Amino acid sequence: MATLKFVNINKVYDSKVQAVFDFNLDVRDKEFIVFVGPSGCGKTTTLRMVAGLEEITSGELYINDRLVNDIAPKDRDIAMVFQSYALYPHMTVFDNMAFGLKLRKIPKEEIEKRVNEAAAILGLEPYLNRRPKALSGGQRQRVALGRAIVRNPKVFLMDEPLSNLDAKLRVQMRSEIAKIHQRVGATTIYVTHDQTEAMTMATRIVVMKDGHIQQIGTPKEVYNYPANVFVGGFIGAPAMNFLRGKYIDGKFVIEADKTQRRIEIELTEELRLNIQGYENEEVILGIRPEDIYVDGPMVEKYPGATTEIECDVVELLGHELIVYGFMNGQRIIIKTSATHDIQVHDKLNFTFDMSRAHCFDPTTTTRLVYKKEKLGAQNNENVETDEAESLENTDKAK
Amino acid sequence: MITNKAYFKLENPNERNILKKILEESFQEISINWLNDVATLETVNKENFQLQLCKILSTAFLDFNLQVSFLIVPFFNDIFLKYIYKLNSEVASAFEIFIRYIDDPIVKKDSIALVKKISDNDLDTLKAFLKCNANSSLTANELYVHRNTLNYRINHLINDLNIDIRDLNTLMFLNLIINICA
Repeated sequence: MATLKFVNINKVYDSKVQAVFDFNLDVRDKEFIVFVGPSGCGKTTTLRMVAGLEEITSGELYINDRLVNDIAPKDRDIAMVFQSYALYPHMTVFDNMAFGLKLRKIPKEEIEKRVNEAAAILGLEPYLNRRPKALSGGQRQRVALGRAIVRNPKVFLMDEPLSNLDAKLRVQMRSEIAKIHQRVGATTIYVTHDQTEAMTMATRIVVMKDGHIQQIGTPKEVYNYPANVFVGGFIGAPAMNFLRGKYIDGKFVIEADKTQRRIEIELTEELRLNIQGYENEEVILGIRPEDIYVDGPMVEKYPGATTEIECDVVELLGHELIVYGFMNGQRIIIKTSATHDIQVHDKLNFTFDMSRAHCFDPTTTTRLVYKKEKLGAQNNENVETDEAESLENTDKAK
Repeated sequence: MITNKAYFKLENPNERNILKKILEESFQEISINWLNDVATLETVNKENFQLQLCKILSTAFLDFNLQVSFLIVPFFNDIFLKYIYKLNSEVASAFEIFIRYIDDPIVKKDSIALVKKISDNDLDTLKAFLKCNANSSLTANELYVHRNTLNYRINHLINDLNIDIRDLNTLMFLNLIINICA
């Protein structure tokens, strides 16, 4: 069993640069946690603190309720897989996986047992007598994983292990790592800059930016209820649309100038509840490209959320169409079925699925949610509500 | 024959034998000499030496959770040895140390001292080579020497003085320091 607890972890380098700010997280046994964020967000630094490769400036790190701040890496019972495969070039796959155990004077029978078990989990049995140069990139990465597995660590740490692989192989290895995790059942912390990896592999995602945690949640939570504009824009491809406008008389309004018309999007009762206190103020409306429709039941359900958009660029992805357009000078992206015959310069009516739309504060960029226990509050804060249940009901309705 | 050399520091001295075995497996022929808690590693004719050391770092940690740092210094000069204590489980070159501590006057002084050990003739060749953007033909013209003469001088720099001007880090380091000295 392996649990981890991060309590107010900070990392400041000698040069006074702070890389990680107040990191708090409880990792449950067998979880697959993914730290995701752009380069320089502090995800690898945090991972290295878990490994013991970086000193923790302040705060406490517990592994299985044991404070490990001052415990050497070799005594933390962790195994770390890096981006480079780091295989011994002159050894076979079997010897690569057995080398560490041999030097630790583990009995031969035990070594064979562990290596063969790991090889079975990883599908490496046919390759045990091959040398690294005779292996593909994915096979080499699996050998690296095997070297970690044979050590039977409590916690696996993985630092962008798929970054060296081509796109197709990355997709294949993602699902393989997920299967390996299910079979091995070890607590894993995985670092990546790729939001697709995070979404497909994680039990929970930690989104980071500039050393700060932006949100912690399951892939579904983070995707459907982003805590702020950054999370909404970072997770999901194409990214969420963010439109700037004002909240006037129950509607989201983008004002017109001389050449454009005023755009009004009627907000649902729930959204109006969420942005109480913002009447006649600026807000940001966030809506995902796939939640904008050219036809179908949404058009009848939200007639007040329909607006004309001129299509600027149209990309056919096979079964999907990505349409780029403008709404009074603000870029908008729509993802729709390729069965629609949409051409560049077409002016079409698109309807927003307002049950999937969100409002954000334009200054703090946090998502606005009605705080149930504070009726009549001036400023709404981002709080947990019964949104998960609401989401399920929305999915069922569709 | 090109000699590759690096200093390395191991956090736990009890793991020396294990690290030695890892280095032997990775490089085949090596020589290790301990200077108290720091050691020098020498091997020959290794391309992408820094990259290979990065892989060894990963290997050492993956298999044994060993914390080791490597510092690659041009010209094999001990002036830069003390900077290994600033490294934390990483591989760095003198160029990276210089950039990281660019505001530190001691680092600048040490870097200039390193370059001042090069003879005037060799320095002229280096300066011309850098000025000509590492282009050998242009460098030979600049120095008014035959291309073969330049090749001889370049081989002398690489093989005898171990100033590997084909290595990008070494070239960038020299370019910065020579311009500062100038």
